[in-house]
Amino acid sequence: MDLKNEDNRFLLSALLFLYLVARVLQLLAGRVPSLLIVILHVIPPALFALIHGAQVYHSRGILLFATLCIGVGTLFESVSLRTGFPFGNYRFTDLMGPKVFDLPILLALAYLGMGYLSWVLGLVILECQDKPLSGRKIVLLPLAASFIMTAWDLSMDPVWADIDHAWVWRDGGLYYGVPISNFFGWFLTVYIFYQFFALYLRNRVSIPLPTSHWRLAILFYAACAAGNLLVVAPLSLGGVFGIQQANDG
Amino acid sequence: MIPDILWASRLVSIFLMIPLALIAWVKATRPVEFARLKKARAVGNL
Repeated sequence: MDLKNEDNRFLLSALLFLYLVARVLQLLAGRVPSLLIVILHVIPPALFALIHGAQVYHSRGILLFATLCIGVGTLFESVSLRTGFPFGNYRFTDLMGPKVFDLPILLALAYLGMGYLSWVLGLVILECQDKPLSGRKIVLLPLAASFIMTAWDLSMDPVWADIDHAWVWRDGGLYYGVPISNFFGWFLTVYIFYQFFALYLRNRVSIPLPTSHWRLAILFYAACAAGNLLVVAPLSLGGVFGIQQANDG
Repeated sequence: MIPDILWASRLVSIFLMIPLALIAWVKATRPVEFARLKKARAVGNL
């Protein structure tokens, strides 16, 4: 993770490009393996988080972020799969690939990618990027980042659940078949790991980085939003990953 | 139902996610502009 800045920027831009390719590939679903599309949705943001974050927080800091993010995320997902708390009652289909204890491995990595991008947006919006985290911002930043990550879930959960059938809500829900508890669950889960990380960062000296470094992460989040505009109505009721629904059915 | 879901997703993206990204973009730019302004003022005072 000690690559030169230029190499890093090239690598980060390449990962953003790969993610954009994945969003365009959605339009070719059925002709492209659905697992490949899911992998390209999840792995580039996760790698982006590790490389970009290593420059902001050093390797140790970003590894702690990754551990908290994946650890808390998988813990709450596992509890919810068994008890319905905090997200609601649901199960995963085979769309997201191999699972450990009914939880897709790729889902855990999805937490890392989007979790980091949402954190960076919160950091920049609250203007905490060039100074040590202190005072009210130790709580405000995790709250803001949780809101930003939940906004992303609000945009994609019904699509992945009801159209792509990556997971199935057992009892349906008020928001296009998604229970409102799911969004409270997201907010709670991500707030917890953000808060732990904010406490770790308290009064630590931050590394000054150029505007372009922050802009790359902001562009990545914007690409996630823009990618949602590309999702089109499926040719059949199978969704963008229509083949999968046929297999599940 | 499916067209409604797609529209809901687009609306959340347009009215929530993209504005958040735009706010962050502007905020990320601000310190640089401020530094430039400060430098310009300093040069002007010379």
